[in-house]
Amino acid sequence: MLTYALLKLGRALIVVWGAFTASFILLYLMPASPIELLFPPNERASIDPQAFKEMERAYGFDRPTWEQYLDRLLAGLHGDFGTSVGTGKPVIEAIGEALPNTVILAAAALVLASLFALSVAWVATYLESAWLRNLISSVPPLLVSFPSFLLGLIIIKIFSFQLGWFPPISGDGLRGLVLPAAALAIPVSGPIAQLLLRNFQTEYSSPYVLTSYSKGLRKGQVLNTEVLRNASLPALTQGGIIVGELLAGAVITETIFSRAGIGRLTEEAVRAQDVPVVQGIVMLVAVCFVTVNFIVDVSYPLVDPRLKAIPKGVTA
Amino acid sequence: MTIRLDQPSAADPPSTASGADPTLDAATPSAPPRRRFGVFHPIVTQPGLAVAVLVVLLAVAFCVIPAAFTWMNPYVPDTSAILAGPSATQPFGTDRLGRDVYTRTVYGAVITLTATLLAVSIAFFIGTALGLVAGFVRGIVDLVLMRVVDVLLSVPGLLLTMVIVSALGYGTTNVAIAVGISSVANFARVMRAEVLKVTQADFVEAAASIGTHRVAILLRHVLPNSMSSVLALIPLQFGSSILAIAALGFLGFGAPPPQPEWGLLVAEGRDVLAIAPWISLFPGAVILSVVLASNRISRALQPVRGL
Amino acid sequence: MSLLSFTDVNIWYTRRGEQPSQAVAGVSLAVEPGELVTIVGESGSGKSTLIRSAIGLLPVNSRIGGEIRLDNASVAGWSHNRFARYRGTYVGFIPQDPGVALNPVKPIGRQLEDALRNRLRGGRLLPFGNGAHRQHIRREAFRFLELAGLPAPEAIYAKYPHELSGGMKQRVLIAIALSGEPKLLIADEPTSALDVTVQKQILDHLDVLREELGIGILLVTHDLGVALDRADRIVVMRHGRVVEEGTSSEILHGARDGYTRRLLEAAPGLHTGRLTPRSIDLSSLKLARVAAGEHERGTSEHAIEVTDVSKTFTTRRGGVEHSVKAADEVSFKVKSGATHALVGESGAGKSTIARIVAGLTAADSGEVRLLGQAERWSRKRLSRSLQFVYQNPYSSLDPRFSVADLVTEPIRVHRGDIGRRDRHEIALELLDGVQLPHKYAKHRAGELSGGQAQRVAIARALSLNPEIVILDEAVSALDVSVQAEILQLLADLQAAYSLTYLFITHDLGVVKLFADAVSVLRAGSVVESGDTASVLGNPQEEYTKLLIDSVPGSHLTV
Repeated sequence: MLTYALLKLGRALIVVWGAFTASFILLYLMPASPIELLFPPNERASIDPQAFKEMERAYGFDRPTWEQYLDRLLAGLHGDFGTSVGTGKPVIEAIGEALPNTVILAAAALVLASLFALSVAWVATYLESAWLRNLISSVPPLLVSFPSFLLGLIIIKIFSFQLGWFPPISGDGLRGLVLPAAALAIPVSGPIAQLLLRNFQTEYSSPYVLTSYSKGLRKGQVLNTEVLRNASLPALTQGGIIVGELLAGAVITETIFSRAGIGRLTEEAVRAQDVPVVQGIVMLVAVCFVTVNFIVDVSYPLVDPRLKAIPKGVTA
Repeated sequence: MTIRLDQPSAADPPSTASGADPTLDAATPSAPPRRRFGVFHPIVTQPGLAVAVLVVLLAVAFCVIPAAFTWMNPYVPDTSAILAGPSATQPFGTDRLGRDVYTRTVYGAVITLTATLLAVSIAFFIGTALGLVAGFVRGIVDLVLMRVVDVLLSVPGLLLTMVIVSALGYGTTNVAIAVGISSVANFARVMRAEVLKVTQADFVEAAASIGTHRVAILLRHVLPNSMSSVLALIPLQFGSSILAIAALGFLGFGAPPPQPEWGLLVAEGRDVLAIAPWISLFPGAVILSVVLASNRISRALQPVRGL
Repeated sequence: MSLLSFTDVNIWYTRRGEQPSQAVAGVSLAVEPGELVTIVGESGSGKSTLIRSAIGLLPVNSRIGGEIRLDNASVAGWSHNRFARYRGTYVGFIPQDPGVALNPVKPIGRQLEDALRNRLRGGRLLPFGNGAHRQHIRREAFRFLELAGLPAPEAIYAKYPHELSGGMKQRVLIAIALSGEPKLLIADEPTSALDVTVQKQILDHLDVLREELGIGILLVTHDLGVALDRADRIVVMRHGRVVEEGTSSEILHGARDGYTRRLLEAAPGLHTGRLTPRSIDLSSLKLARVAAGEHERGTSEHAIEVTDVSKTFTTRRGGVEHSVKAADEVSFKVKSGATHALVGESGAGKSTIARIVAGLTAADSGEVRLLGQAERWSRKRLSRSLQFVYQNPYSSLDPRFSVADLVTEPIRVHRGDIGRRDRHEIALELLDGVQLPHKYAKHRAGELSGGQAQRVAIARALSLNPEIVILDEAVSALDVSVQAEILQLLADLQAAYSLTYLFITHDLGVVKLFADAVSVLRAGSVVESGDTASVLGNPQEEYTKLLIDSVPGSHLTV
């Protein structure tokens, strides 16, 4: 068990290191002049060549690539990804300020999305009527195909402009959270619902369901006591991807609702080509993904007894 | 004693009969049922799929010959018809400069779908090759390639695309390349899983046991049998690439105005959403239907998972 | 008053865009208290569909016509919730494959309690029991596990299904079926997935339960031997219809229907002698012989000599190593031109040894000598003398190849100089050899029936004109009547081409029918070895006796 956990940990660290290296190559080596990128686009034309040289030395771009790489990697290990070009703030500080807002939004969206996805899968499996079942089953593919930016606009149009229930620009507090959370939850729930629906159908058609029916259980009981757990546990393995989707979705949602957070920070950093901030965000997302997956990997054998099992030998 | 052999298969029901009985006695290997209309069977019997195919064909036609679907110009402003609502002559209404939104949507297909095609091609060729090599060569190559795929997966598609765009610069082509790279992992994973599964099959072992060369096994047996799942992924990726390209267009990282890229079209209506919702909604609906249709096609292509 | 009656029952499966297919056609049948009725049929006969309709467990795309009565209620087409009060308490169900019929992530004690709680709740509305109630449920659960033949229930109560053997799982399922104290048990091939010795124990136990509890049992099986051994009444089904009905002795001695007679003839357990090969026109494989190149055919006395072969499989999981001895100092010799059977239950290591002989798995120690040759052959050389036929033809034939390409694939690999057209002609001759009509040459394996596909696999094995063919459970997945045809074909081919067979099987009945010599294996070691007549007729070892005794129908005389 310990070797297994260490193996997974090693794999997680390799992925984080890989993400750092890839983003370093992509952001610091690919552009012709990284110094130029360090200035806001509108000031680039007026850079004094003398100052440029000085900058280059100050940032260490005149040194060999591998030396720069090791320096940044070492700093990165301490959580130091440099300072933002736009605001001059340390990257870690900028992310720290934006993170709580996004965490609240993402958590609310995750709860909404999971509940919705689970209900869709449960109801679609429970219904006996073929056309109702097909109707509900067609919801997840629709959600997956819906452009998230369009969805945000439609939600604002209906609930802010038409009905006036919620503000179109997300302020603080619960009232401001409702629309963005819904706008983020709906696209994220699409893939989850699709996965759960498929799992529910697979599990529901497995032979042990016949056994539980033969005990005299009603359909609802069969779904709750047998199918639900077996069908939803595999969704945990998608946890890392789902968290990633939430953070990515936040870019669109926070932009549409003008809400401060990691998503807005990303959008602004990319627009300004603020390389240190972009790299900081990449590392944040990669670490989130890896952490969630590590937790799922390590805890999964605890919830599924088959994985702890001694493999069935030839004599078993 | 001998057993009569005059009718070799009289007692042996054809596989279609056993396929119709879902209880499938444990003693019989199951075989897929035959289909009546060959490849077109699903389209003939499923109206939803037929509509999906039509929608995608129409979108492709927009892309190839946009001028056949509208006589207006997507770029020339018309001050006489600013923010006009949908009408018989202008079904999608007009935008702030009086340009016909329908015409712009038709011409937008050229930009968005070409970019999508580029993105999917990049993802398909690189991803499939990586997956094939990883799954067939195994060992250290597999280990390294799969960690690369893990890294690609650790940053979600949209973010990864944005990061790549911030390195490459804005523009439709760069966005397409970025979307392509960020979907490489999907193809690689599916291809690798399929290759691993097929390599386990008895018929691959049988081929190896008669002395077939490794490369011949790969080309004759493994590759053709692993392609079906990957092919089903193409329309799925086509749909999600349209969404990704449009999303980047919406955020302003893709084609610059006044180009009628689909995401940009939706963004143009954002400020006048309260008074002229059609500017955003109609192009949005077009995006939705094309994506929905390609996802539907992908579902139909998905190989039936047997035991 | 019958416990269960079917009156003119028809069942269809509907599929979108296709004609509904009829699985059951006009079946009438009744089960009386204390009676054991068996339905016998091959795959596609509709037998499982029929009995599942009596407990409402058909898939949603089924349509039922006619009347199905349980205890005076007409239950055809009821929803799950309406059926719930009859299931468990009036009719219990024992499913097909115990390996998958239990929830894999729930301890088996809780799975049994689910059934009990449902019955014992009585009028109580609260789903939670108090302490005394829980105690009561647990006592009841232990009682039913003991009743199902699991003497130490507390030891397995908290175990998960994967920690139990197949036979134990089936007993747990029987305990679940009995827990509602039903009047009728419906068993759908309850022992097909189990080893013969376990099958006998389970079926014996069902017999005892019938005597003790006086319940009616409706048992479905593909094995006529099982039915003849135990049933009060036998119903033979084919293509959804009842073709014959009667008591065991009526069926055994006076079967009227031609299909029933064919089943009787094909049932391996009922046979006494070996199959006699019939002559095949030898000219038919001439082209194939030319194509494969006239390599020197071995003339040694023994085609296969296996000496002290051992193999241990080691797996690592969670840092702990588990090793299993699949072959332990195994030795045997196979005479050229003879059939040698390796027989044993699951886990006996018989397939491992076959794969070692075929060069598909490497042995840890020991020697395999083919055709008297000591040196190791390359794969190409080996495949010219030895071919392997797998159990499942659908997985051993590339699904994208046509039959013609499949059977000539070895020739294509070995003889690059033979053109496409010639290969096609050779393919047709090979199909003649295995008596498959030429029209199938363009089909793909997935479009063939199990028997036809296995013929293709055999034709492929013969294409290089080998001396040795290894048949790894090659007929086990087929229906008995098809199995008999394939065995006859193999016997014919053996005589015509002087082939040596190494025949792997779990079915002693087939051994009697087909093998000259036999080695009985258990847990990787040879228990007993010798010519078939003496091993089966006069077994020396306890284990061999037990195996022979367990073969269904072996005590019957035709």
